[in-house]
Amino acid sequence: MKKNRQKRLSLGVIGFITAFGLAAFVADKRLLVIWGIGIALGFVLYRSGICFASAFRDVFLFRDFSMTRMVIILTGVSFVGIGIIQAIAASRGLPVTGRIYPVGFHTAVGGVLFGFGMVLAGGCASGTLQRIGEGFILFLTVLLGIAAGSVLGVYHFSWWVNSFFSTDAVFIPDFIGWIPGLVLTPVLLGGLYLVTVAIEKRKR
Amino acid sequence: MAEIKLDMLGEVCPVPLLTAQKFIGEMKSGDTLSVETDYNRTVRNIIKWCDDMGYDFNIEDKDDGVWLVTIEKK
Repeated sequence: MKKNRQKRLSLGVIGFITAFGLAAFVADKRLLVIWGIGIALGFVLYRSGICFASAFRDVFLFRDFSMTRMVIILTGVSFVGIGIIQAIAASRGLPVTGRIYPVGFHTAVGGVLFGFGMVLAGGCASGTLQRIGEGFILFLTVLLGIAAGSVLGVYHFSWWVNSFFSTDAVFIPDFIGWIPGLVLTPVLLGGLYLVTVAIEKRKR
Repeated sequence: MAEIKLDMLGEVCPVPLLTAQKFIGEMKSGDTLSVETDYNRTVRNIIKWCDDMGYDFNIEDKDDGVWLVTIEKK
């Protein structure tokens, strides 16, 4: 792409994002915060080059665990953030926020389908958005695939839940208590981290 | 000294690195392999792989968003 065209396009994108933010602010002031968080997350995603597809794929293809460790650290960071929010909510007797869903056969099927799709397409959901932002037109096709797949998934999701084994929503502190739950998560994440280091050391 | 050129324009991970690994396996010491790519992640992958294997490499900006990575097998 010629530099001039690139400059014009980037000015256009900045204009669109600003207009979107203004429209969100007019509709609801709180949306402006979410708009800001979205931009910040997108920037971090782009600069860090984090790639969930690589984290799971390169372990098998290249015996490369660097992105896997990055995802483990990322999970640890979000554990601290969401843990604080949930603990405050629970201590005030409010409902606990977060994506707490039932586990069952559908979890495994969905994981396998998403895993194959992610590796074949070259990016997970966040990676696809990030690469569209970087200018890879190819990933617009992947985004269409993600949208189509999600719609199909929602359409027959209840069949999977009702036809096979499925539990109630699993929230670990409900089972083992808050303190053991808060200890168990970093221990598991730290253990996984050490396993990746040990495997890479043995390789050399 | 042989020179192999790989056109990886439009290919995404993990294809460029896998192809490079396949070709370098058949190369002799001192041969060079150049990979042309428009995928920035591929450049990073190849750098890390070269560091792990101890290969010398050179990166050239061919165009906006197009890189030519040249690897020398040792």
